[in-house]
Amino acid sequence: MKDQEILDRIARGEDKVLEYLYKKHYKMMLNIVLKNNGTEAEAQDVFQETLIAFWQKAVSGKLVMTSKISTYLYSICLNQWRKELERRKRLSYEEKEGSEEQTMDDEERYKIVMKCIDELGDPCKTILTSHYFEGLNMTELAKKMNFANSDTAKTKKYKCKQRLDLLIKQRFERSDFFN
Amino acid sequence: METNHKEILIERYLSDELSLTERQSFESEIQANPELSNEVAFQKLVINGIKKYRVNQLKSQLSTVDVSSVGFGNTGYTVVSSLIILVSIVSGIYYFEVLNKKNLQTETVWINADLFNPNPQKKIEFPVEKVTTISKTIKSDEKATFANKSLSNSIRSERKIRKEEKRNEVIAVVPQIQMSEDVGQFHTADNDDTFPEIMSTEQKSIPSIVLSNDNSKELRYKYTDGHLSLYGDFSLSPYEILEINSANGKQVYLYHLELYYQIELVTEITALIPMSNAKKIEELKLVLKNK
Repeated sequence: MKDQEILDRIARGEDKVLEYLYKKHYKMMLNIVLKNNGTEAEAQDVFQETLIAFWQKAVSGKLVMTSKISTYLYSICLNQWRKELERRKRLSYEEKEGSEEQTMDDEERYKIVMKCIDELGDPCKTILTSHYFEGLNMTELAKKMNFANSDTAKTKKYKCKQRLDLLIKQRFERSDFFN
Repeated sequence: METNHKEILIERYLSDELSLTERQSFESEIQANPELSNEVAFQKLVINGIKKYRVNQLKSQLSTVDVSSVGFGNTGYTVVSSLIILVSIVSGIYYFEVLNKKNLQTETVWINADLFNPNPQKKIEFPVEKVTTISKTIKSDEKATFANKSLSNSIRSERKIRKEEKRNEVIAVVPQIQMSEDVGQFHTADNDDTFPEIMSTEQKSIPSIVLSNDNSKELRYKYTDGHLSLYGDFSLSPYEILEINSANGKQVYLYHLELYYQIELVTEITALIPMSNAKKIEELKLVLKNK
């Protein structure tokens, strides 16, 4: 598959392209991490995040490619792994300083948020992720979800978001997270 | 409406879509309003949570991709690529050799010329051309017989091809010949030992072709008493002698450089004039093709 075809298919929201890219460049990414003090599981994690970030930019039209996709992914993955190594260094320093508590709180909060998104079910999950992650505007969202028009999409998205906010707030109050 | 407007403003702020003035104004408001500040923090958490949720979805999808064979796949890809390259090289060499062989096959052509032979019981083989730039020694023999029945002509020919290392010059070879005075300057091959096998076993009578490279661009010939003498530079391409036996008697033709010439009995050296009879040329092409 040529680069342009890949980008076109991503623009159409075909997430199967991700799997294709993952398989195609897996070994290259694995080598980056393995040669830099990482494990295969860590390599998978970094590569998946790199690929998803690439996907997000490409699908939302924010990606300007000045090189081949393989070159782009390679450099991003390398940077991501460097950042991860730096983060670990910093984390181990912060652990000594005792700033762990805040991170734990954030993690718990995100867990609750994601659990609530899960509970929303479809089509709200798809509507919200398509808008907030893939960056689809209301017209694009209407097309993707087969809504009559962008106004319908806007209303649906608003209602889904309201439901989610409410769910989360209820959970936070119960968990006494949010002050 | 007011709540809706506030939410939109928060979303635009978090998506970095506000203008500089709008952002500065909104940030001042956040600082001054703890409730708004909490709401902004909450929305940031929810929106990032939605993004994380989608990332996790895609990660789960990628985690199901079977990459166990990818290492092999890439190696396999390398192996396949290497094989393709290897096959290409081998094919290249093969075709080079075959083409080379084909080219060489035309370099020394021996024709069983019993068609020229006034005494049909006797048989002769003679070279019609002998050549030229060869960088290596290759030897092979090839015999071919043909008969073209479709033209109701009796045509038989036997070809012996011998390839051998030669200098970069045109050499005319006459194995056994009654040399005409008109033959002019030509060289017998300096490795005459390549021919004795044929000569010693088969030659008894001598209707012959004498080739003389007199460096003349004009192609000429003389055909008398079963002797065909050719003059001119035939080194550019091999030529072929075709003889057709038909009800009208024997007719001899010469093919050289895509042109056909009718060889008539002429006692004087005569210029070779390409034939123009399209129908006859087609017949000769067919004969040549089936040869």
